[in-house]
Amino acid sequence: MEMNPPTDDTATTGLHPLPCGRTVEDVWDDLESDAPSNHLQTCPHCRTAQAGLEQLAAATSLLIDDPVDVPSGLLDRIMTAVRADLNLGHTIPLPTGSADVQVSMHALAAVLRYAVDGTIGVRARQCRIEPAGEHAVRVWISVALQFGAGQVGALEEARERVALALRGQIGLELEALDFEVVDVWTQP
Amino acid sequence: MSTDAVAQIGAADAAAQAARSVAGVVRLQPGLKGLIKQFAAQAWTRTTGRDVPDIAGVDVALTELQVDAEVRIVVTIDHHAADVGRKVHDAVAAALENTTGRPAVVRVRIVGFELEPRYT
Repeated sequence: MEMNPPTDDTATTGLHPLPCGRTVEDVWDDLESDAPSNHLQTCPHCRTAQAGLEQLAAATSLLIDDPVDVPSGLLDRIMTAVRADLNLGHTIPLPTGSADVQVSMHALAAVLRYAVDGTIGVRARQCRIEPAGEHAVRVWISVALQFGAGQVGALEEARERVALALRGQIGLELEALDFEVVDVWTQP
Repeated sequence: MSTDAVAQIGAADAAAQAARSVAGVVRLQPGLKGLIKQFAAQAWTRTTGRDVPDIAGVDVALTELQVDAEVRIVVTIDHHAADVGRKVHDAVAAALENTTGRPAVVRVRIVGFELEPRYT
């Protein structure tokens, strides 16, 4: 089943929406990606949010640079805590009966990218996940392929690895997975 | 420190210890609010010389009728996340009910995975 990357409208509840339809959390993700989107570079709302996030980062750096004797690894601890807060914006319940257990979709995406990266000749870029019924998900992953690595076969292997990781490591089922090839690289 | 605050810290400490005891839990992960609380606790310890339990990653609210808790955990990828989450839920609920004598409502949030666990 073909699946387009989910729009932000599908899962923004509880986040910090911007007038353009994206969220502050999306801007954060965009800034952390290797290649910020065109939208981020042109949208005044996203650029305002970007400026705010950069000011926060600058203020954090100033605190770190303060001559006061600060605990080691302070910046890492702060940024990990910030990510933990942001990660709780999107969660999905796990099949645990009456126990309320949810997993962050950002954390889940990291697992799925890791699963894809285990395939020779395939490198995951971005990953989006949306719930698909009870304890199942639809996934979209953009990938870069190594030229001549048997692309179709490699993607099938990556698909199996994603399904196995979801079922075996997380406890969810894969309803659909779409790959989008966004780059090809050659071995130097 | 008020009696309520002491009871709340005691309950959170019991919950944190119960969560950490579950196989597959790498650590408890506080958010920004929890991290600030952790810094405050460390400052308290430095100033007074009295230890405060490490309860970062656990939020507990005591009411007269029940105890509510949210636990944020990082799980190692070589364990089944749903199983780990359920065990943490059950262990924390039991610890809180044992400590406070009140029914516990527990939420477990898996906020990260350790993707390359170190075997020692």
